Amino acid sequence: MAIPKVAIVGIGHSKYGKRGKIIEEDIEGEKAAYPAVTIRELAHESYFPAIEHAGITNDDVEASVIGIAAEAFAGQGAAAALIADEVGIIGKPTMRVETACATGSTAIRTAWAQIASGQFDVMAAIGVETMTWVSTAYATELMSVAGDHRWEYPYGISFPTFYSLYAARKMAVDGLTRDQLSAVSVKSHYYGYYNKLAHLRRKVSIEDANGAVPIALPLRLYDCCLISDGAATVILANEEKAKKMSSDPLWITGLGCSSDTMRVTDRPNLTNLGGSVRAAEMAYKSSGRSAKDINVAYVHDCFSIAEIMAYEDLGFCERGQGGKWTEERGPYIDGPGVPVNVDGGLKSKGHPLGATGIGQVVDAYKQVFGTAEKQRQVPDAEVALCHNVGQHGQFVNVFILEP
Amino acid sequence: MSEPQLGLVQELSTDVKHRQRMTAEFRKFINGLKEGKFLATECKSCGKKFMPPRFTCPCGGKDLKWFEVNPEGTLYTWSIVHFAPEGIAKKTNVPYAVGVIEFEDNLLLTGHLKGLTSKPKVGMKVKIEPQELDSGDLAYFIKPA
Repeated sequence: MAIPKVAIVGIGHSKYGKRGKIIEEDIEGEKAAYPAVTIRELAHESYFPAIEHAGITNDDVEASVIGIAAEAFAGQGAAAALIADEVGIIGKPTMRVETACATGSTAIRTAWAQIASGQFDVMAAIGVETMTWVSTAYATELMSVAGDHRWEYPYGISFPTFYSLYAARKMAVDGLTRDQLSAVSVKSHYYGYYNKLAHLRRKVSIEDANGAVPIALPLRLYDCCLISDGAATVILANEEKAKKMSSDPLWITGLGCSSDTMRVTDRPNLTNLGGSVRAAEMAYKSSGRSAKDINVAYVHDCFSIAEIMAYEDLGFCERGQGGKWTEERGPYIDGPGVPVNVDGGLKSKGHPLGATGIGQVVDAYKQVFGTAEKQRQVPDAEVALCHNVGQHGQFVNVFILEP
Repeated sequence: MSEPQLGLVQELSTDVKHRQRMTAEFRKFINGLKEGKFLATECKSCGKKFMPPRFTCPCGGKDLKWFEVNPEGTLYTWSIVHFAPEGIAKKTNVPYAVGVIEFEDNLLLTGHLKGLTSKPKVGMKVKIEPQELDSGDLAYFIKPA
């Protein structure tokens, strides 16, 4: 049941944040500055370090896949052509892929398939999104029109509303509490604080999260991920090339993907994401791994409720116990379970849609090879899992990654 | 809490109406609303029921029959929206409430939730009602029963 051997051999990750303006940071006396950029420079920021890390040049990259979720954010049509041109992968096949918030992981899955098929040996998957150039209301619009345009959107269902419908249901059925939702955000911000590339490096308390402004009740501000600009790139290679070019290849040993109904009301329950359950099962089966083998996980925490459902859907805890597991510090490095989103997650690191799924894999690489900031480094991590969700489960990709 | 009972569907924008453009099959549902009926479909091959109505079945069935749903049910879940998408926000005020009503046969439908006098509660009795918009178009909303 093993899948064709394809490895991640190069990684690059831009600073996530509001990148339309210069960012100056001073965290515990450690100062950093980042220039104002557009999707062009963001692509450079992630791509050039990735090929340098892989020890290759553009001559070695045979094709590219570009992940951009909504071109309207950047005001650029045919954006894959622009990005491929910008980084200099010219005269070679490229394409844009889109699966909403799972766009990044779909770019990796698409490149994986083109390598696994034998068509290409070495490819780049580049994810980029600039979301902060438009108003928050317009950004909300661009994400909300993904609801069914006849039966959902016209009745005022914003994108956060879908997840709030899950949260209210889970509170009623599983006894999920306000404090448990907030505990997720507290953890995300704790680890994000130590991640130099994270968008919002600020620790928050349960009280901060409980008292934050309502967005779509039961969800409040700290339940919702950030709207960010950012880019991430991975270089993928087949077995022969990977072994030649890299002393530290990270193999994609498991790959699962699934989908779900368009309308939220056509699902058998609103306490978990069936797409995640199915994708995880496929990923575990193809890798021969199970939830108990995972040393570090990246789950799609577009909302606190999404992370709690992911704990259950990926098998890190029993069904219905996601909230309790959070309170018991299950997802902490020094906790009893599986460290989750030690990069800060979508909540603190940020969620530039097209980059997010690739950014997860980039951080998994750092964790497995021990190069993350020491305050958020998982000791002896070997088996990593990345879980990236588009919409509320209409698109799901799960990767198992191992050295 | 502020009053989550605004009539969002009273103010559907032109843009939203465009997305709800009539098709022959959708018109059957709307014509049902005119008579005060909520119509759902049932696959003649596998017996699965659909609300909102589907016109083909995932089982492959293309022959579906219409049936009338009892408009009374319970609140399956809810949300109170404080930040609306731009296309909605231009036409209404926040906050507004959204609910999912559970009809018999476990059929669910999302709709605008109006007439709340207290915080919505999962399991509370609600009903769904057709509503004629100022434009003459028909929509529906959920309210406490």
